[in-house]
Amino acid sequence: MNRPLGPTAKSAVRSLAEGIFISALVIGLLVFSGVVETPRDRVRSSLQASLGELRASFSEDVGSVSALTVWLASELSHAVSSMMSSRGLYFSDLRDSPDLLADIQRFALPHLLFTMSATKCSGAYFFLFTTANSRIAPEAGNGAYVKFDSILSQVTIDRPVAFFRGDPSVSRERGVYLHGSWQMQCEGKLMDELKRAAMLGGDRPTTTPRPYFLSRPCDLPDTWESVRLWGAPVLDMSSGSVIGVCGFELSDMYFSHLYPPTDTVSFALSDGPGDERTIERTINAVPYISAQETISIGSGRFAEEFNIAAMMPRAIASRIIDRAAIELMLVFAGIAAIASGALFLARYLITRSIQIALKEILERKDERSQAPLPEIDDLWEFLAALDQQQAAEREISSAPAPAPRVSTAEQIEEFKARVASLTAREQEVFGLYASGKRGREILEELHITQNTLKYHNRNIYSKLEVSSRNEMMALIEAIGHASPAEAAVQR
Amino acid sequence: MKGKGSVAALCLLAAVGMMALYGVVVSLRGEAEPITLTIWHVYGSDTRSPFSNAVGEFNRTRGAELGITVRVASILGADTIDAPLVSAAHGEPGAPPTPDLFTAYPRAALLVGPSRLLDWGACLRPDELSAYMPDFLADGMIGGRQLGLPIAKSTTSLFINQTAFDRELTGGHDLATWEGLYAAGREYSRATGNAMIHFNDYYTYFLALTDAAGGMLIMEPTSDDAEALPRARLALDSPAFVRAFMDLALATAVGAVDLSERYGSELWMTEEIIASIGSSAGLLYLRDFVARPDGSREEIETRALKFPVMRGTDPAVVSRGSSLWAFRSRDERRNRAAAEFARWITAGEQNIKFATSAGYMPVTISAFETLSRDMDALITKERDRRLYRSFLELRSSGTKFVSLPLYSNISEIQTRFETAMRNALLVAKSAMDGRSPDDPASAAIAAQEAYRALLRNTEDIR
Repeated sequence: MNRPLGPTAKSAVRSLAEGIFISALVIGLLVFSGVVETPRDRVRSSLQASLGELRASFSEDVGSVSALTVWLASELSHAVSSMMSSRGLYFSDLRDSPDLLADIQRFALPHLLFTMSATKCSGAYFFLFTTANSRIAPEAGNGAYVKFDSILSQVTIDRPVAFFRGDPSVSRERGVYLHGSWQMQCEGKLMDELKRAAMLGGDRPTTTPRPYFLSRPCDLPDTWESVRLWGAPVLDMSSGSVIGVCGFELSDMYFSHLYPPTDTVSFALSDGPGDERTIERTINAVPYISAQETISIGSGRFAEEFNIAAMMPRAIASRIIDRAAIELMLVFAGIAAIASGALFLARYLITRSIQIALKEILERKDERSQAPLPEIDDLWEFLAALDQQQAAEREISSAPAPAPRVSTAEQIEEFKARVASLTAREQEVFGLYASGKRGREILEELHITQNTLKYHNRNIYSKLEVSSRNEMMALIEAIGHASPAEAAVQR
Repeated sequence: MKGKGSVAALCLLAAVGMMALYGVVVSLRGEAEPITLTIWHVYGSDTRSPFSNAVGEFNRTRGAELGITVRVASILGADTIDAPLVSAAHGEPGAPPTPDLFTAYPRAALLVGPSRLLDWGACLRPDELSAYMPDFLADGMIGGRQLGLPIAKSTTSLFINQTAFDRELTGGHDLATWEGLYAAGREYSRATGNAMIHFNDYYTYFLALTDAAGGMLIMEPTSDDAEALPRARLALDSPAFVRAFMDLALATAVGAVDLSERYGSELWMTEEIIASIGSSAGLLYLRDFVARPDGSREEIETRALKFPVMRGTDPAVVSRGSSLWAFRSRDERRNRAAAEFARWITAGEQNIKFATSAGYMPVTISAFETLSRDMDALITKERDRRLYRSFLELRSSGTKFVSLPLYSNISEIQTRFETAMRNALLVAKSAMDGRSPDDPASAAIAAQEAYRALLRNTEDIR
């Protein structure tokens, strides 16, 4: 059974449609103006904000660690050079000389231990490009590599240290225990990467070494750790050639201590957009979305580019997007509901008020207004006046002028007598009408409310036996403009 | 009236709709919020870390399903995790934030405060808890609450560098008894001038030996306070302890035992010792090669043996290995997430995989059954198989598993005992200066001096 909708239901449906339209318009404007973000934008901006924080912190740390790296390299360069000089040795004399190399480690180890405790790092190293045993390890680097046992505390004084590479006799003299994956020298990919980074990518020593660098990631042999190494070349001060490298360790775990991930965002330092390995290690190889930025470490032609990334697992991003979408829908529904409700109530109340007013005005026999809204009285009076004016114009144009309603002296006197019966306040209002003032002007002049004026109007009409202000004005016109006013004033 | 009814209905509908949507959003916001839990663990601080690999697998699988990420924030040693945990728990300046989860011995739980820890008994169902080996589960029970959950357990084992042993010693040594091992140590010392044996700790050694001989190392005094954990004292005068001590002191006096403060694994790397007594999980740290001073390497065969016994006593070993603990969170979702991880890491396949790759025993009854049934398939290296055969033999042979005692001052007792014991053994060694190690009378005098030194140094904790 399809029954046509009633007026209230029609009004409700129309209000709902308009409310939805208004809500869509509002949401659209808010989104367009950027006040409200779309769910995807919210994820992107969250990642961008995290990336911004990472960039600020990392840039600051690059500055301090690179300065300490260069300082350490300078110290060790001078120390090794003066040691070789005092013993009348050349760098080549150190090859296959384990005792000399151990002596150099003895000297370098305190420097490493001191500077690492003052640096944001997880370890420190110093390697000369020479070997204690060319028969077994011809390409090894000889030196010391120490690592913090724990990187948890920010207090670095007395933090236990492990000896990862170097001569065990040197570590024992300093009371440093051997790391579980200790070896005598540094070999393999780790050493290759250090040589590459220190020598501007070439295999041979150069005369223009890189002032400082950050290496590519290296897996530390026999451990779970992946590290990058801050480094600076150690120079033979007599020849100016690069004879080694030293610096600090930045392990993956320490990186995550410096730049801790949140519940949703992890951070990585990668070699570039293509370095998926680093990123996947950071985020456990789950699909992810990220915000990335390229940064340069080094200056001028020595600069190398790296990527910093803020990453969010795709599953988490989807959850955030879903939640944000629901929130946006809620806001949309809320605005639509409020707008619909407001429109409907407005329609309902105004329509009802007008209907009541019209009905009562149409039904009333006398001039007393019962309309709930005073504006309706004014409107009605205005319409009535307009009707009379139009009727009068029609009469003037089509028929001879009618005799005035108050034409005799007797009638005039009666009218004057009625005017005299008005109270002082009513006569004041009457006088203002007689002088041509309109209702609004009278309100302003007498400082009274509209309801008070209506009250006076009703009393004046009643006492003057007129049905409207137009009739009253017509009588005033008929008896002469000045006399009633004067009468009123005189009284 | 009809119009007013429609208005009221519309308003009501809007209000209900708003509330329903709000409820959905609040609910989604609560449940879908991803959770990251941090963990500090003790599995493989200096080497490969099978536990970290297992955490990664959890994150990729079950964790991804539930929106839980576990982040390994630090890997420490079982002996070094206590201090940062305590400083974090007490909020000391410069201390890191407390992790959500950590693995440690029960003594660490006492130090951080048991009341701050999550009760796994409230998170796991009774049938889930009953799947664990009961004696492993008992290790984590504090004050009637299951605060520690076993995830992998070890025991004390004897590791031998078989290559050096065969090279330096004649055959026929009984390495199943302490007497046989010390005799081998004396012979090795005579042959090489070096100590053969290193103890990673003396505490668990004496706990097992005194228990096996019918004594007790730790004495529990009566306490008036039934609620508080009592303070323990050392019992060093029982015949069982005295016998065990004298054997060790004599072996030290004749040069069989290394007394350096370094880790056994470190001395193993450079072949400064060839026998190490320590956690079975030391397998992760004992390399299959040794380094020579010239930088060269030599491949070695490593042999894992059962913890020896004193002749005439029953076999006993200390059940060791840290448990999993969680700081209780006000956010129940974090507690539930911690329980999800605990459930996953101790469930069948992944528990066997993680435990056996780190030299530990799995912790559930079914995992033990699987291990004994499918050992050849599950463990590929022969060296590791030997270790696991010794585990299974220990459990099937009626060997007593001695739990680590838990008292309010146990951490202090253990630390003091280690220091006092080492100093006492140094007395035994130094008493032999200028005397022949082959003179039994001198060695006996040195051992007696060491015992007196031990009693002096432990006067206030006996």
